[in-house]
Amino acid sequence: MFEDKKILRKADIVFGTILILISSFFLFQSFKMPRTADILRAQNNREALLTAPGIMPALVSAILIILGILLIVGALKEGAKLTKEDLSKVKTWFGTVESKNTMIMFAIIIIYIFGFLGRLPYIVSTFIFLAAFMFIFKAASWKWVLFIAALTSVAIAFAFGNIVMIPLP
Amino acid sequence: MGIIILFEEIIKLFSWQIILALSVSTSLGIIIGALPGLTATMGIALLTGLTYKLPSSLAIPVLMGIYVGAIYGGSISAVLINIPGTGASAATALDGFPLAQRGEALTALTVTRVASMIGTVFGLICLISFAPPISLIAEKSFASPEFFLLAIFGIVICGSLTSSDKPIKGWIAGMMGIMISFVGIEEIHGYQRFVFNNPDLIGGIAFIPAMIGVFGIPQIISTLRGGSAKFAVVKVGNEKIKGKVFSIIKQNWRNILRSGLLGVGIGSVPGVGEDIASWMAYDRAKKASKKPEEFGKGSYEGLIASETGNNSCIGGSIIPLLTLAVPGSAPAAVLLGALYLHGIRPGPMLNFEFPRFIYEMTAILVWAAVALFIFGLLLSTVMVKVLKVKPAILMPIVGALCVIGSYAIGVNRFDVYVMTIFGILGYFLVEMGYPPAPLILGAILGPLADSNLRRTLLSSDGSLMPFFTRPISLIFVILITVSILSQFPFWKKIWSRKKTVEV
Repeated sequence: MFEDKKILRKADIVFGTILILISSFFLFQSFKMPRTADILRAQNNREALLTAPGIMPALVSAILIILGILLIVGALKEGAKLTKEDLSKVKTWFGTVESKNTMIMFAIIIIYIFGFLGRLPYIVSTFIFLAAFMFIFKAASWKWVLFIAALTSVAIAFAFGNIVMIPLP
Repeated sequence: MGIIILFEEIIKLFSWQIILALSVSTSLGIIIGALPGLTATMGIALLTGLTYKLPSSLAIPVLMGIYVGAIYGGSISAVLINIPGTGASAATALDGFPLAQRGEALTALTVTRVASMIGTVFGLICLISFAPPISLIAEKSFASPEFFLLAIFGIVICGSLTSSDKPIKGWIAGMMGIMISFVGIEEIHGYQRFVFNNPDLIGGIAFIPAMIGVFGIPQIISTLRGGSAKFAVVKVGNEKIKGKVFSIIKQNWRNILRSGLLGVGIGSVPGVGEDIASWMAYDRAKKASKKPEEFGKGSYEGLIASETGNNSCIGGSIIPLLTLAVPGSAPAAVLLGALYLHGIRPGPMLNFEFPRFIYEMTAILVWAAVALFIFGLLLSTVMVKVLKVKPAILMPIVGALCVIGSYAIGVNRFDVYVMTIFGILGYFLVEMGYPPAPLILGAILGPLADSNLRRTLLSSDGSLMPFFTRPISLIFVILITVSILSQFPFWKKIWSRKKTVEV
């Protein structure tokens, strides 16, 4: 969690706004859901209305909008403000080691799952993922990294492919 | 009568396959729990995929073994490297590590093992004592209004208690979880909600992959984002512990009883779980102690309170899980998902469909406690070496396991995408102070709340009165209202004014 409460409150304003927008979209979608017996499995329109599939989604979306507003109000009361300087602060954050490492990890995971999986054989894609991850984060010497990555990918493939007997992704 | 059935179940489980499964899984659970970055929730979620094809008579003991082992395992790293392996052992590190530094690592490890075993046994005694009567009450008095309010109460209380920032964030996470559960075909009319013409969404968002993502990916990122460093492991010397541990446990019997009760109590509150149980037990022990100043500097009282509290919480969290289908903790939520996968539907109907299941679960816990005691002893010294493995080696392997674990259940690549998206979403939510437990609880309780609200409205012809006229419903309404209002400043002001007037 962000240690700095000031940053946290600024994030509350941004997230609260996103939450209100997304929840409004879902509220709108909930109202579009059917409420009549000709579409739903109901004996009459009254029964269809009382068991309409949109009731609970509409209720939860409305609650989320209220909570989003309360989140923003709470942050504003504590003195949080979004300024132009915040953009430059975000840029500075992207330059830190922590953020770079975070982005690298996201990139490795996304490339493995959305890029390799299903396109390359499972053992090969998992080996590349493990070796790249361990190599970038300097887990051991490159020989050890290759050995551990190979051993792990074969072991996982064997455990799931041969013991649990599922077709590998 | 119940005791006889329990003994029958204990004896029934004494087959080599189940004992082997429990021994291996409890050991694996201890290792999972001890390794920082792997939690009980993750362990159960991953093993759900691995054991999916096993018969339920074997798969459920495996998952329970992981649960019990992992909650204890966290204390090993808490003592040896001052990093709790799971959140449940955070309070253990406060006293465990100073004790290890003082050269009492072996004693501390033995005390945590004994306390964990006693805690587990305490939890299972409460499970067998309270689950059958609660089940009976649920069977007779719980109808749609009660189930709807129970689900909402669970999310509200879980949100309030697990949020590290504001309680409102816990509620937002819970409501988001409910919204996620609405994706796919709904129960009453078979209508497809929020599918957006995507055939992969018709069946809904798979719960276990989402759970693996929310708990796994953020952990990998937060462990390695600061770079990869080895853990400094404290040496375990040759201490003479014979008699010493027994006298420490004997001196702390009140502490054990109090912490065990607290653990079970917290465990039975929906979604709250072991992390808070151990802190509450630790806090209470400190307040009741004659030597509170020793807490945080190497107090066995603190160590025992935390470890008894978190392990007794397991039995507590299974009480609402089996009787009401409401998980008492995050690992219990995955366990609930796993039970559904194996065709077991907890709740008031459980007694009809599987009349001895509560006893079977208690018997599994008995054997798991025995396995914990034996394998905890064997593994605590081995873990000194295991903990020397660099996180940069471990975390990528965890990542690969998250992928295959989420794929294995449905043999569907879409589930892996779900895991990834939830993982990324989970990371940012945790960074902004939103707890993952209510999100998961919301996702699992959403359908329960949804269908029961609509059934209530149908049976009352649109009136909301059943929520206020039925006694148990009314209790839930009051509890929900108080839980929400108590988090607002004006409520606190009213109470502080009242107290001032009384003074």
